[in-house]
Amino acid sequence: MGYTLNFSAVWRSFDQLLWGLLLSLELAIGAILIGAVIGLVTAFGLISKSGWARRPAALYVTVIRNLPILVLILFSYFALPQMGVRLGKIESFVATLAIYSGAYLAEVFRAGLLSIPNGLKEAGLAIGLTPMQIRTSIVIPLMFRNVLPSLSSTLISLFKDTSLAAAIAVPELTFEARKINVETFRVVETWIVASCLYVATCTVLAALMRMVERRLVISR
Amino acid sequence: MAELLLRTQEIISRNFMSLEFYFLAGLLYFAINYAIERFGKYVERKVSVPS
Repeated sequence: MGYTLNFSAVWRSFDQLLWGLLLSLELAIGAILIGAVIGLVTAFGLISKSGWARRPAALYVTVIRNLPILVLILFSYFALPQMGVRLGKIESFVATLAIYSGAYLAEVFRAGLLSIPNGLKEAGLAIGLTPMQIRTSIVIPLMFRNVLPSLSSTLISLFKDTSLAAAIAVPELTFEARKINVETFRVVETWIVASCLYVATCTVLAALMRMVERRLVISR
Repeated sequence: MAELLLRTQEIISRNFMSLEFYFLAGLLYFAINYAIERFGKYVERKVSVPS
């Protein structure tokens, strides 16, 4: 191979990559927080006995999970303005990723909700808790503890999905890497550095989630 | 790679009908993925051990 690696051009623009990474994290956190609320409400809908709650929740999960996220991103940014819904590129991306993550998190939370033994809910009723208190004080905390391992991989996957924001020119890490790539022509070096930043961030996120798991683990 | 989404974007760049063509692309993706999902569930039912 006659290629000599030269990272100096990439190091000169390294701060741009870091700002891009910061924006990626902000996008992911914003979308995941909104998505977690959507996912939790949908998960309760999915396990509900009422068809009026279950059917719309199931339809939402089926439709969103069967559509590629890139189509959703392009649709919300380029097609929705034709229907009068105008959002900035960052708002549009966060809304799309939140809706997308909501469908995946709903399935994760549904599995967690089904894993809660009925005896615990009955115990809550026995001590006089209302159904809402049982949900907020017993079901949701236990469900979160049960779903932490699968939640961790979903969160990492959603963080990586922020790279698709480059398709609508949101200046996150992939977009910045592509810009440096075009400006410096150091294709290999730029993508090596961008990949290392993604790997490092995902590793830190995974370690943080494992730390939370260890803290919340019930000794058996 | 000229796959469905790139073809859709090419068509949109010619006629600017983004709403209609992104919707159509979404519908095609949904139809294919939904069929795969249903097939997966059918195989799951067929190979499951009766309890």
